[in-house]
Amino acid sequence: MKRTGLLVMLGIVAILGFWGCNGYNGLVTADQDVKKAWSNVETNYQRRTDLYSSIIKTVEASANFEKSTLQSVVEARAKATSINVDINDPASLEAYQKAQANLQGSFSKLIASFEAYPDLKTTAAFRDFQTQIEGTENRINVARQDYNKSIEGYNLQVKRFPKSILASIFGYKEKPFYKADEGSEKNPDIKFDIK
Amino acid sequence: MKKLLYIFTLLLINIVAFSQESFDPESLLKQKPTQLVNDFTGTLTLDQRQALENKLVAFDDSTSTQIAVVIIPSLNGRDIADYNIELSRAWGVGGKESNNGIVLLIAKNDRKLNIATGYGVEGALPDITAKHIIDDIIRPNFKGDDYYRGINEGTSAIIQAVKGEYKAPENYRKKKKSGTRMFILLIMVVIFLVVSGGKGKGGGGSFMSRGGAMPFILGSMLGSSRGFGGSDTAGGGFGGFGGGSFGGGGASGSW
Repeated sequence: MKRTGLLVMLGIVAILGFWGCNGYNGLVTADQDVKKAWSNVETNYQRRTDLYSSIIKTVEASANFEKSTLQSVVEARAKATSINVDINDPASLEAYQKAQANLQGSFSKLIASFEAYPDLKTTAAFRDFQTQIEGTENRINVARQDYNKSIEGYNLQVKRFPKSILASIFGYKEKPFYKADEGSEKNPDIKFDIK
Repeated sequence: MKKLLYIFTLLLINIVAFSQESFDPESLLKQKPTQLVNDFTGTLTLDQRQALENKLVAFDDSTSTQIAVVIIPSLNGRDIADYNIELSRAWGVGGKESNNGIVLLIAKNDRKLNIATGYGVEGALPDITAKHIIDDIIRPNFKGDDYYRGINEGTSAIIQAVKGEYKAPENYRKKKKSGTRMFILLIMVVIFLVVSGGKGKGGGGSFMSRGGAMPFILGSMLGSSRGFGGSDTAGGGFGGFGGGSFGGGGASGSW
């Protein structure tokens, strides 16, 4: 009789152990997915920053340009690149997001000021810039959506009972979503209207 | 015979229902097309579609790079780049490993078009090249209402850009074909069941005459399976999309 009791106990321990391992692995996988998705977001923001930089260089070369607008873009860029993000920390994520939105905003102003230079606007180089900006913004959009999707999957695992017990044992916490930039759900309106 | 007529009517209803004017871009996302050229507007003639399909299938067979052409009437107010990413991801154009899919989407009434490039072809077909293809090759033709020429030359330019990038693995065509063969087999079984089920009730006609009708039904059934996509069959040996993914690469334009 004692023997069966022992066996049952052992069985329960084995099942629990199996469930624990499985659940833990699921959490690790979801966490990795989030990291991967985030690195993709960062890569695309980096791509945008690089693109802005090359545009700025081109603009600087054409001397008689409004220096103050250019300056604000350069400053915003410096600020955006100086932020280190910890995706587990909502505050730093928000700061990052703000800096990126700010950079994008000041860049839009720079683009708007191009309107005064029709010669510049119609060059082939400019059309290429426009295409690249569009593509970059699209990529950022997609990367952010993918990131939020991965967060959703991860958070579900962390918050749902009974896995939530495992999550708290191993220190997996809920992660914040990447919110849409204020006032711009979709792509920013950088438009050159080259016909 | 009655059964045959019944099947035929069903098919007809199917085709008519899908080719109606009210076009819903969202429902397109749920379909799994079995051809590379999908015209939901009737812009291309059968010959033109066939020619395009043959060209793209041949390219798919030799390079495993899948170029899909989709012509829809309207986007219902959606952003074309956004929609095309969603569509190409939903269909999974390109290979799962290499993500080498390209989708040329044309919204005819909106007069907008977009080329979406999969992760794996962003290098061979950068956004700028895609933009040049749209602006310099496709747009002038579309402006002159020559849609076929625009699409034909546009896809040729795309092929030119990406042709050195991937090579189809040796068993590529075989692997895809086996899926189709299974499908045909399944249909044959279903038809056999239908036919032998009808034998008990009807009693008229010899078995041979039923057998004679079989290839015909088979043919129309196969045709319908392609027709489910909404447009008529274009034939060819396309074996289905491979599950490729897209990350927002490509370019848009209008005419």
